[in-house]
Amino acid sequence: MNKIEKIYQHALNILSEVGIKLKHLEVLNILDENGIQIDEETAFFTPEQVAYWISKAPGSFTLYARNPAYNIVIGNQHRHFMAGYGCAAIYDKEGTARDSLLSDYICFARLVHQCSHFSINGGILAQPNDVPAEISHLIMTYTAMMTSDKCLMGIPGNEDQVTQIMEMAALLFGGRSVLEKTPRILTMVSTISPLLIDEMDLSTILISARYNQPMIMSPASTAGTTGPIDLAGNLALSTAEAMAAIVIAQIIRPGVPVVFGLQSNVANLRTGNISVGSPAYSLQKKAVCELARYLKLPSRSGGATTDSAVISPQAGYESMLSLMAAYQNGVNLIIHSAGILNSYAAMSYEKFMMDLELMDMIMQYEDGFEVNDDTLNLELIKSVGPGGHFLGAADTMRKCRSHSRQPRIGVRENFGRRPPLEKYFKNIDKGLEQMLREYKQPDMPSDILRHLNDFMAGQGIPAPVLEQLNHLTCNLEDF
Amino acid sequence: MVFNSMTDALVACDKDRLIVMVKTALEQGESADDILNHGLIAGMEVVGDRMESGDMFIPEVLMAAQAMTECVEILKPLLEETGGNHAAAVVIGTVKGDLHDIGKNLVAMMMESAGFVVHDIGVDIPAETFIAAIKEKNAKIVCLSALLTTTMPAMKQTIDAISESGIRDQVKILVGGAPVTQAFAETIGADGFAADAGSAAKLAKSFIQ
Ligand code: B12
Repeated sequence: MNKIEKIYQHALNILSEVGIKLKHLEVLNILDENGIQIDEETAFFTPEQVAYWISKAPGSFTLYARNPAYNIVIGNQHRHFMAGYGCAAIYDKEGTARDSLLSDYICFARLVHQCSHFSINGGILAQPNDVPAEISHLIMTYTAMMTSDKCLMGIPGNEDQVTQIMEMAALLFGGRSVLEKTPRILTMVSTISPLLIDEMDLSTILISARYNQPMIMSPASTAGTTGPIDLAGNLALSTAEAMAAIVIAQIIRPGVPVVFGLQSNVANLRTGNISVGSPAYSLQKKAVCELARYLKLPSRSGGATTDSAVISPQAGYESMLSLMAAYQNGVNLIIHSAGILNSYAAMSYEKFMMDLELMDMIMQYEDGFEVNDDTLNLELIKSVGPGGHFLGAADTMRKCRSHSRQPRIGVRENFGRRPPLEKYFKNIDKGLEQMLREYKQPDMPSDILRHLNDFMAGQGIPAPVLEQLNHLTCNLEDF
Repeated sequence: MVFNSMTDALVACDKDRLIVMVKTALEQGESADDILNHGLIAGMEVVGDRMESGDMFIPEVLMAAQAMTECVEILKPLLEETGGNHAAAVVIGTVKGDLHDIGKNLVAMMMESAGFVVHDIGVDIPAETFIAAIKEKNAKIVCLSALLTTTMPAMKQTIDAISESGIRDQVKILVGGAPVTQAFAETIGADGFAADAGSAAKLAKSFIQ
């Protein structure tokens, strides 16, 4: 048995011998009817049951966007970046925190829309603290739909909340029956490690599966706190939890697309917090990809993550290790690829711009270079001859813009007296300002807009609020 | 002297040595009260400081706390005999809707080590359960933990409910968790806020003295 098989076997043993606690009566009943052994709230799965139900899940699937140009395949060799997710705070350049607001949500949705690295928008780009929590899922989803025609991320919640989001997606994409035929809205499901799934996340699985919409099953067991301190044991625990979530989804709706999304962390045992800038975190991503391939499922992991609370050398090198590890190992969905700081505690506009540069660099690195007669070009070398230089060659002139790619924000011209960091942050501001200035809202067909507005009104959201939402600007000067 | 070496044993997480020391001290006529206050609790203060400065790792602190708990078990019958040391009761829990408990558990541990009798009532706790626990345990301190901005309002609701139930004057209320700030604590009418488990225990002690 190789390492991956051993981890998988161990995960199977965990599910059959320890089981997983499920805080949802209806789900427990459904499992019971399907022959899963239930003892009070704990479900025990046999290795055969796990293998049988997981085999029902597709190895890859297409996620459809409102604009077909943004449709993407999730799985196989495809890799997609996604922005930071879930934060309720924004840090400024100095690392000072403030609550995130609806205007931040709108700004990030526009930035994501503008950037070619992303095909998926929405979800919890930033929690709008100025919107009551009971309706924030509606406001975020509506805003994402209005701001962008890229693929959509959903939001987990109770049964009513997830149903509302699914109904909005049905309105956007032409009705429930159309929605059920194609994956359109991708929702992240978290487990509570070790070995528990709460009512909210089971409700999210139940409703998403009924609408046949894809889910990312994302246990985040943390080596040393909510998981065993050894990475092997921690990965097996996460794997067991993800497999249980996948089996549940497949029992509810065989064939519903799922992503094997281990977010296995390590703890900083000086404080008990997680550490996602550490090599041990990146090492686990590599295993996540291998496990996903072994299970024939698409994979998900974290992206440009760091434990630094501010843009700093530490933020730079930690994020690069983490993003590069995800990309090179072939993670299909790389969440938290832009904007995240301080072990998922906050978003930062400056970090967002920095991370776009990391993505540019990684993609360029991955492009490699061609070796052929043109790129070797003996005539060129003959014409320059020994002791000459290539700066004046026509070939160099012709290619100097395409071959000497300039960084988005990085500073290379370090002459003059201006402190280099000042220039760096100026480039960041300029980049942000330009992306937001160039943003154009994609057209929304008027009948769909009317349906969405009617739906929101039906949920008690007053028309003036929606009107306001559509006219909110995001001028970074305001912040 | 003997108390200093108890501190050393605690910092070294050496349970066996600590138990021997406590037993020897008793045989030599030290009072259970003194052993608890000048030996164990003083030692845990050092442990707390080292945890704050990062010199001790959390699992080591947990081990030290476990060693202390076992020694307190030995002292308990004697403490009750002399009637000394009525440790104040603390009720701690994570508020309704919130399931994060790593931080809360650390706070509970440090409170215990500071000599409080801690009743950890778990996660996702509605206001009524907090109130019932305060009454039942005759708590002097209540600790509310929240890690989600969406559950921070539940902290205010819990404090309001405690006021409405007429027992607000009986307790000091501490709040904490990553998104919680001093300013927020003041707005919702809490008595105190601490950013980490060590300072939480110190703050709680300052309320009791
Ligand atoms: C670990 C973790 C989890 C684990 C929790 C495991 C567990 N058993 O606790 C799991 C994976 C289950 C989880 C679930 C969720 N999480 Co979470 N989670 C975290 C994470 C990474 C670390 C929290 C932690 O344990 N920190 C370490 C401890 C030691 O620190 P601490 O809790 O702050 O405690 C210290 C102090 O605050 C203080 N303290 C704490 N309590 C108290 C109380 C008192 C009285 C005092 C005085 C002091 C005090 O002392 C402690 C020790 O020093 C944070 C991100 C972050 N870095 O903060 C996100 C985070 C808090 N989670 C978040 C989210 C969104 C969720 C989910 C909603 C995700 C989902 N979609 O399902 C669910 C919610 C589940 C629920 N209903 O509660 C968001 C919150 C954003 C927001 N809106 O507020 C965060 C910020 C991450 C993110 N960007 O998405 N999470």
